[in-house]
Amino acid sequence: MNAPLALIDVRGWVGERGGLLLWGPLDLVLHPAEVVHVQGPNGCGKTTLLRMLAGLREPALGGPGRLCDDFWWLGHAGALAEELDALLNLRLLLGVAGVPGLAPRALADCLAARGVPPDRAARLLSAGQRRKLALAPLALVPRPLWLLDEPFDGLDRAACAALAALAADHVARGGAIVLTSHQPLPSGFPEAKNLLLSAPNHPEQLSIKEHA
Amino acid sequence: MSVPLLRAVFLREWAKAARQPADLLRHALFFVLVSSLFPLALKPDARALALLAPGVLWVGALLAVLLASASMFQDDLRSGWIDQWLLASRATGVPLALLVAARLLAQWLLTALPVLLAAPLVALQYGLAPGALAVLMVSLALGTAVLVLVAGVAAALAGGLRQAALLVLLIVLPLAAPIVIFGAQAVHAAMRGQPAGADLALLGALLAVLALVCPPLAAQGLKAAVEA
Repeated sequence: MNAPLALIDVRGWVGERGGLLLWGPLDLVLHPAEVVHVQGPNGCGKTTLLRMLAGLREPALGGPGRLCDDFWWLGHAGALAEELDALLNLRLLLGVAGVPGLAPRALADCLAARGVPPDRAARLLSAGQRRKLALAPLALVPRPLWLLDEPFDGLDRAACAALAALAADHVARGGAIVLTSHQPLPSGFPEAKNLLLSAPNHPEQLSIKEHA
Repeated sequence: MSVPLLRAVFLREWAKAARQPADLLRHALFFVLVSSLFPLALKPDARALALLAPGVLWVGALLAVLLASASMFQDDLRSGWIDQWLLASRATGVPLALLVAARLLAQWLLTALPVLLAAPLVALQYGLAPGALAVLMVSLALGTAVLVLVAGVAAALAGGLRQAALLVLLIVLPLAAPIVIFGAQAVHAAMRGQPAGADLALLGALLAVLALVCPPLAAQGLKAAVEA
C-alpha cells in the first residue's frame, strides 16, 4: 500500500440512536484531498455518523478505527452564545479550539467581509449570518479535515459559492471533507464521493461482524 | 496549549455576565428578599432573631446559589458548546475535568460572590455581631463553593433531560445537609463567643475533597449527555 496515510479509516461501524439501528455495517476510508458527501433521508443517521467521526459518539458496533484529531467541526447549532457579539463568539470558538490569539482587528475584518456585523449579538443575527460566523474558523486556520453538518443551511447563493471556492482551495492543498447536505453541492465545490446511508437489511449479520 | 482553552471557557461566562449584570443581581436580590421575610414574619424579638439568623441566612444563600446553578450546562449542551469542550480536550490532551473546573470556578464567582457581598446587609437585620458576621462570610464562602461543585455534577448528569433544574434541586438539597449543618453550627458558635474553627475546618476539608472529586464526575456526566 503506497497510498497516502488515511485520515479516517473505520471498519464495520454501525450507527444507533436511542435504541434504533440506523445504518451499517459501514466501512469508510478517507484520504487527504478526498470529499465524501453523506446522503440519505431525514432521520437516517447522517448527523450520527458525523458525530462519530468527530469522536463525540461511540459506534454501536465496530472498532475504534483511525480517526483524525485535527479537524474543524461544524454542528447544527454552531456553539454560539446568544448574548455575545459575533466577534467575541468567533474569538471564543477559536480559543476553545486551541488557536492562539489572532488579532481581534483581523477577525472583525474577516467577519465584516463575509457580511456578518462583528459587534451584533448572535441572537440578532439571521440564520445565514450565524452559519457564516460558525464557518469563519475554516478560512482562518487550515486544518486537514473538515466535518460539516449541513453547511449550506441558510446560506445565500453568494455565500454558497464562497464556501465552495474555499473548499476547493482546501482540497487542492490536500485537505479532506466529510459533509452532509440535502441540497446538491454548488458548482465549484470539489468533486465528492456519495455515501448513501441505508438501514441494515440483515440484522443477524451484525452479530457475525461483531465476532469477526 | 491549555491556557487559551481554559480562558475561552472562563471568558465566555464572564462576558455573558458582564453583558447582563442584572442576572447577577437577581440571585443576590433573591437571597436578600428571602432572608428579609423572616424578620417580618416573626415576632420582633431580638433573641428569636439571633436564634434563627444562622439557619435562615444559610438556607437563603443556599437556595439562591442552587437556583442559579441548577441548569448551568443546559444551554451549553443544546448550543453545542460542550461538544467543543470535548473536541478540544481530545485534540489538545487537556482533561475535560479541567475545563469543567474552570467553568465551575466561573460559576462560583458569578453566582456565589454577589450573594456573599449581600450577606452583611442581611446580617444587619438580624443584629449579627462583627465576629459572627466574619464567621458567616467564611462559612458561606466555603459552603457555596462546595454547593457549586455538587450542583455541577448534578447539572451535568441531568444535562440531557428536560426540566433538569428541578431534578438538580432534588438531587443536591439532601446532599447539602452537612454543609448547612456545619455552616450554621459555625455561626452559632461564633455568636456564643465560642471558637468556630472546627466547623470551618470541616467545611474546608469537604471543599478540598470535592474540588478533586466533582470535576471528573461532572466531566463523565457531560460526556454521557453529549452522547445521548
